[in-house]
Amino acid sequence: MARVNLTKAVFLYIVIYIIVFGASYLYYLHRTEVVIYDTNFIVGDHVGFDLNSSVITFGMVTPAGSASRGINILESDVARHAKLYARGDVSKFISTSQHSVYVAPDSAQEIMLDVSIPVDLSFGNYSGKVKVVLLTD
Amino acid sequence: MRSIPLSLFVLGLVVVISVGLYVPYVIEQVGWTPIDKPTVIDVESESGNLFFTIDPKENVTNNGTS
Repeated sequence: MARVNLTKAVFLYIVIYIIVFGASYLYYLHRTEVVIYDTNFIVGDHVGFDLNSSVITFGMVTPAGSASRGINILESDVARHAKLYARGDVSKFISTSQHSVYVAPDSAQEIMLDVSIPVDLSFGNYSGKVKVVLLTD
Repeated sequence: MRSIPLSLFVLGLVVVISVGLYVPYVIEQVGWTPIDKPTVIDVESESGNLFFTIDPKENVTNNGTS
């Protein structure tokens, strides 16, 4: 029965892991475009609007209320999949109709993001970040 | 000198390559929560009526487009 020297096997594993990991990571970076937005909303006793386009801000929302903002994925000559992620205070309250959105070549796509405020959420400023990952097919 | 069977070596090779391919995708998502479809976030019983908040779009109070 053929056997392989353990020391050589471990060395080979490490070399192969570094090569595969590096190639996979470079490939991932090559086919993805990542955009990270600051995002926030304020829970208060009245509704407020904020149409700042550099951040995804939902303005002031009352408890049990909700608000929506859109992200425009601009045209490209290749097909892409957009995936959305969040972190921070907002991540528990933010949602969209679909996690992964297909964007056809030469067409734009708007993705709506919604925040829904529970009845018992304390007044205050809630912030975080939204990450849009565009994966080229 | 210690050695391992060839079959075990090949199995290890498959595991190493699989992990090497998968890890970059995992690294990019650590600390991020996927934004997905809304779930029931609040159920309140008031005056004998059940109040469900299921779809945020049904209760839009502030709608802007960036």
